[in-house]
Amino acid sequence: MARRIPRQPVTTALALGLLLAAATAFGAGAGSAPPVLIRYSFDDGLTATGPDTFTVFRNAKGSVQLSTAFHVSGYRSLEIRDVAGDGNFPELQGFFPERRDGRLALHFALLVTNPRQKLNAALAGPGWFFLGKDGIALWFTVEKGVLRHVSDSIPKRLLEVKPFTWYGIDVDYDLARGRYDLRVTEEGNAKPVVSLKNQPNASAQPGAAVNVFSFIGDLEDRSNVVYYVDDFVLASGDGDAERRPFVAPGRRKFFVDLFAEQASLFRRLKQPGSPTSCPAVLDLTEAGLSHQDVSELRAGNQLDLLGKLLDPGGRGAGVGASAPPKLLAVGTWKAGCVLLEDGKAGEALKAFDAAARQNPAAGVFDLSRALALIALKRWEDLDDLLFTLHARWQNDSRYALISALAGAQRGDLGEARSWLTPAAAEALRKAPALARLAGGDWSEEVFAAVRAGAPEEWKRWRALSLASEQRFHLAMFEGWPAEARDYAIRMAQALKAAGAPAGGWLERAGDAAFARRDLDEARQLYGQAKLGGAGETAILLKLADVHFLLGDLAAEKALREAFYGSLDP
Amino acid sequence: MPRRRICITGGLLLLLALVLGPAAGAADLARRTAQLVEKNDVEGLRALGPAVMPELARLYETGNEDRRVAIAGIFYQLGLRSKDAERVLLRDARTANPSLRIGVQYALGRVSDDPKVIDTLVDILQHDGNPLFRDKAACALAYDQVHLTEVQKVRLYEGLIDSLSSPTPQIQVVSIQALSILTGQSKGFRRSDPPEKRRKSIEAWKQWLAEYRANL
Repeated sequence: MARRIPRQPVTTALALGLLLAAATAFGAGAGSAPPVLIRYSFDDGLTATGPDTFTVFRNAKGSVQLSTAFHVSGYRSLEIRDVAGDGNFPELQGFFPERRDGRLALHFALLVTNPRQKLNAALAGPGWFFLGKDGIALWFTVEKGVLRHVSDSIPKRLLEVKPFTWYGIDVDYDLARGRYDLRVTEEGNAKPVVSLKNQPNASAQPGAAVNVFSFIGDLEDRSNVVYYVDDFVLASGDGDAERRPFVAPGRRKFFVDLFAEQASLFRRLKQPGSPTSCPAVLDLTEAGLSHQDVSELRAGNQLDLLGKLLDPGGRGAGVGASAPPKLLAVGTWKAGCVLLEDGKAGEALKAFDAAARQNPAAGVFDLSRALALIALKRWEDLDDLLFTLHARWQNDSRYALISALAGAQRGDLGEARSWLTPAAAEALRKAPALARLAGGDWSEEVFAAVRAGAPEEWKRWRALSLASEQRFHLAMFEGWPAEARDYAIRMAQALKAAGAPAGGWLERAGDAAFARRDLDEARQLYGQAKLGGAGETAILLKLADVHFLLGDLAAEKALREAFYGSLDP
Repeated sequence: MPRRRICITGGLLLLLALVLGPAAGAADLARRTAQLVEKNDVEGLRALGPAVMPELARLYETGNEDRRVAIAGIFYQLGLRSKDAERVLLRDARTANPSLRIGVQYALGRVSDDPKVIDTLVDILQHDGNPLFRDKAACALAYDQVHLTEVQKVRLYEGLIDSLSSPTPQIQVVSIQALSILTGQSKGFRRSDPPEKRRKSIEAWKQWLAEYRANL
């Protein structure tokens, strides 16, 4: 049945895009099959642009990128965003050593913002993404609100997909028989919503090989899907290797949980003599590295070295003098991190300063400098630095940790109450710039106005601003959210009385109420914060979390739609 | 009075512009389309948008067979749904001109998801006297029904599974090839197998179709 028009694999169209490492799995080439072929939680800071198991194709207008918007574990998940009519589709694709027999356990978590839009997830073999022997083995689709798996060449309905809900998908696949057990769990539902046994693979082919997986939007270029993937694990179920149990339903990680994790770290770090470690790099841009830089490092076979330098638990590695300047900067920073852990804060600070000079765009170098300054108790220098870091990092839990540590070490936070005195209230009324400073606007413009208006006292006002922020973070990290809430509300009241914007402190009060799981109050405070000029995006997402916990899924949907766009036609 | 004459003249001019404006636009589209067809400039035609399809259908209808072959190829490459294109192509679905016939068979599924297209191609596959046309009908059914929904595919699968029972060996062979391309499997159907084994395989296909239907 010869054709006049040759049929080409769809992937020939994917030759362009940012081609990252498609590294084979852990232990490839070892004598016995490794228990885990691929595991990725999208939290080690390397996925976006670094050495990992994935190839990322950012074609046309679509994107594949890390996102902190939703995640089951850790901090981040992977966001795949397709755009209809742009002539192509984005793709996350990963390779692993070819398997033709034995068992495979596949797990991933999936969250879809609009289930009507189409997406495809598949595991395939060398025959590529076509139905047939050694072609697609496992195939999941979401379209028109329904999750289906293609089994025996038939798209079979599994469930109606709820938007903004995590689903855990677990497959126990017997390659020789070409059959699998499938379980799907839904966030907030203790029992599996799908539990199927002995399903034929996509085209009912026993013994079909697999070596690649893929997540895309659609091939027809009609999808505007935005979806999230987290906790991808592909493990061997062979022999003595432990069979992974089906995991529990994924639970949404709320923003306050991120701060709770940092609080645990805080309690360790504040112990006398406890070694201080550098903040984790969550995005390569934090280390001052662009996509272009990473591509160049890859071309120079230096991604492994970068991986070692960014490994939070590692002790670094030697970076040759001929290395690219930005890699040298990371090496210098890592050397500083090792010194900091060894208690040599002075030498660490010199290394961080040098690294920051080598690459001023690397924000994590500055966060590390702050930790060294805390260890050295150089408070004035720390104040200078925190003021410059505030704009970029104020909503980051790592900054909050540093702020709380500084507060704990200084031990003079009683001064933070000075904002609440009648004298301060009078000053706030008289000087609008001072009120904006107290409200959390630490912009250069505001600070210049404060300095001009109070040449003798500006340092005190600055110290007060820092102290108030540190007091709040310290209370939160110490596990005193009621105290944090009270302080934040009193600050907001003082600002309101002075006619100044109080949104920032109302939002903090809401955070503290949320941490106490006083959801009604958190909802009220976030509402007031929004009216009071707090950052609208953050408030919307926090309010959505509150409504989710309150069980008001309609309100949650409406709030998330305000951020992500409507799900309705 | 002169003032009134000016008003009347101005009104007439406006009326003429309103009447002739769209006509001029249509004439321009026709001219542009004809030029691009002449150059076989598919991307240029695509850039004109869906409005180009009725114009292409008109050119197809009024053209000679060579022109029709060329335009059928353009319909194929554009892959845009069009009732006009479907209508003119279906008229040539039984033409004796091999180039035109094959071009039409390939193009039909690329311009239409109407059941008439599947029925026509299945009928050619099962009953046409020319094995080449039967083979190309199977090709078109396997590769070119790009607008079908999962529900609409039932008719396609039904026709191909039905064709497995044809007394003509070639029809069995190309039908199972088309099914394999579409589903990735053959359910053990081989033309060289004894009739009883083939019958069991056809039964398996029928069960498969029933399950396919049940999952819609």
